[in-house]
Amino acid sequence: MLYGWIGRILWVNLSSGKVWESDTLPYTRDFIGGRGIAAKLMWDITSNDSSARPLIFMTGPLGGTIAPFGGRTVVAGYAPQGYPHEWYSRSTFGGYWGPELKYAGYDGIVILGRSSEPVYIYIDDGKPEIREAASLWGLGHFDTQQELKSILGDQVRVVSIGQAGENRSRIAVIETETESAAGQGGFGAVMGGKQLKAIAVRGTGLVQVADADLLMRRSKAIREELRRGSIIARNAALDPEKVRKYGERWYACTQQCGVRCMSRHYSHVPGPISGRERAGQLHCCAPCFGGRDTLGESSFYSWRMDFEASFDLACMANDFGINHWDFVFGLIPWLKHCSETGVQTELDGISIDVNDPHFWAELMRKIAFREGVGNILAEGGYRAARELNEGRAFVDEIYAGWGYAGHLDGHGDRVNRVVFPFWLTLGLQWAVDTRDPFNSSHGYQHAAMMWSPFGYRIEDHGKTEAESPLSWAQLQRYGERIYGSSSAFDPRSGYRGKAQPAIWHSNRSAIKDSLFVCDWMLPCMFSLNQEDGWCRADGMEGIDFEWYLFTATTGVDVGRKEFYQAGERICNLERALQVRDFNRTRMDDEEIIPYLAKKEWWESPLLKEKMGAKPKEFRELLSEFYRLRKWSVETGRPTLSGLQELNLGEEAQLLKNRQLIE
Amino acid sequence: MLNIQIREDACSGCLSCIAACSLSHEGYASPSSARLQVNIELFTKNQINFCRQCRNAPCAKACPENAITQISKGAPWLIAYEKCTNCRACIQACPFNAMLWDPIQERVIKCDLCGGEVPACVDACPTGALSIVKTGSENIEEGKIEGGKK
Repeated sequence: MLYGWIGRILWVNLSSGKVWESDTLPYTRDFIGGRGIAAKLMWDITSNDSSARPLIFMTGPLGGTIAPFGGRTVVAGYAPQGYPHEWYSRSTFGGYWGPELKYAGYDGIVILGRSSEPVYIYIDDGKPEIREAASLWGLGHFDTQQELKSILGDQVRVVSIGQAGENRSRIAVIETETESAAGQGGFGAVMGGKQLKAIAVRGTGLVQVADADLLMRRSKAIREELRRGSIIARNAALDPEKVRKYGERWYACTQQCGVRCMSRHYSHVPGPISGRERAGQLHCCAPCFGGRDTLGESSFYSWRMDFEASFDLACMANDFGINHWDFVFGLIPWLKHCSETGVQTELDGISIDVNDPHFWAELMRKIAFREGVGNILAEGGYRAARELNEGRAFVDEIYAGWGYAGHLDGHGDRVNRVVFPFWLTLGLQWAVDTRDPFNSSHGYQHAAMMWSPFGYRIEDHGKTEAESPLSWAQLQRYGERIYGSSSAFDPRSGYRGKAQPAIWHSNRSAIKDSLFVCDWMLPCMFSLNQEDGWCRADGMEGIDFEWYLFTATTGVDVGRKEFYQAGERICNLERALQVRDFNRTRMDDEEIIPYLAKKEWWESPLLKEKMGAKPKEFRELLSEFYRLRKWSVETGRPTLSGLQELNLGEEAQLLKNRQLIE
Repeated sequence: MLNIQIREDACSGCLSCIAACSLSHEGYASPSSARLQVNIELFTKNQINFCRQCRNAPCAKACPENAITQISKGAPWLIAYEKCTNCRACIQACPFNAMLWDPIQERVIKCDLCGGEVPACVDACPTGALSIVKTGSENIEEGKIEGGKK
């Protein structure tokens, strides 16, 4: 019997209307699920047919069970948001859709081809159908979801695109429920290009687990430890005045999440722009719609919008299916800059006024329908700035690379405080990725800032060592224990010991997105609940929670080392994809250097000087990273023997035959 | 007398209870085999169907085979499957939508309070939406049911 996985992957060819199934099992040992299996499917499909443009939805083995956070799903394919190439990339979403897909009999769906007319896919307990969607085309995400529920029943779970996806905006998302979205990558445009409006799923089946009692016990212990021990859980306080006014819920961002984090869900917020009453969550970047009003006076995002208007705007972006991150951390700061410097003060005759919610709403509408200047802005902030040739220097300050606005890297986004030398690790991850590597950063940058005397939030600034959750000495000991590098968490270590955590967290992020587990909470290194700050629960060490959940669910007899090696394999396979498809080399990676070389946005309280990356030192660090990765220092590419060691022999041979690797 | 108490406004919709219920009863995870149901309401609050272990239980009254019985007064009502004919009269009779058809096992299921231990759903609930209380069980009279079927 197969535990954790369902064992079947659904294939849908929208050009021919054919549907068929394949086995999941050949992929599970090496690639686990989610992001790992998606990368392998992508490799296999496009090796056979280089013109194929598959869109892959893949769940993980923990999905639909009780394992904490396991309900997420990855979306993968060639990403329209990518720059300069539409590299293969991935994005994940939560909600209930993934577990429902498993209950309906599939671990994932591969969508090939393109329909000649608007369609949606309906999967009813193992019976997939392609149905016409003429009446849905043109609707926003909320109405699409509602309409499908009224046609197919309330129990159905829906992912859909809004108008932005239909019109193939490069910043279009794929959305489910009120706000869970595969945000980065522009995968909404891929669905739109395929004329696929939605995928609705109903499943009454089951997920087998290897040891139900063990899994329940481990799940509870891990959840309880995180509830008590996580800094993110501690910061979950809501504004009591807003709670009184609008009503409040704690809303699990995905099925199986049992730890309250910073997500805030208000249930009755009037929408002054849309006229709709709004309910939904404000987390991640969504509060930034309000600018200074919701982020505080010192915010770089110094527009001012009242809470209700900003909440409404965030919901409108969800409805149109527009990527929040690119909108509030890219497009709007850029337009604000253009307006303030006088280079561009109006768009299609409307003056740029970032304090006016109606300006934002109109801009979103134009983007979603590619109307007027919206046709250019729909390309995303990075491409739009290049096309309009306005404020490009500023855009280069806030967009780190590959068409994505900065994220936790000390330079681009200006709410997540990360200082030198800790953003160097993320700099390496940015350098070799195809999107913002934020799920990797949530491990290391959060650790280095939140748990250290530096403090992550502005209000934690200036904490003494005694007030800090962990002292520098403790952090350095743990750095040695986790990464084999005591300088990893040393605030005066400069470029020393930064490559090891970059690799460790990159591999672990591949594991998280393959199982799935929470991107914010795991890997669980530290705990407020433990005297020594080292996370553990019921005899399990925090950094091995992933392995404990995996083995109890799947019953796979695998040691920790072999299990975590799957993360290294997945990262290498993704790299191999870049090499095969876009000749990715070290030269590409180094394009991140000018961005990092600019002075950081905050300064280290110890160094008391704003730092930028020194190109020569960063290049040396990159070389160290490649060496530890067993990649060629010269080309930044995996090697034949390195890939073979990871059981990627076929992939290695193909690259070798094409003379792409040595 | 123990029973489950629900605070719907505290429910985060994580469905840990559903998974725990099916895992502890059947060894697999599935909402279809869970003895309580959480209807996710994105815009208001989730609605949870659960068994009240009624004093004069309509399900037991409706059963033509007398297959739904208590070991003693105040104990949970249990289904004797050797008597059950799957007529589903109990499902119709329950005012709380707590008698459920399990399409996987192809039989009616109901909450058995996990045999007197802390029920698996309560044990798994991270939010306090489910708890265990000592109560006098609900006395059901037709037409006087709060929170029952509309």
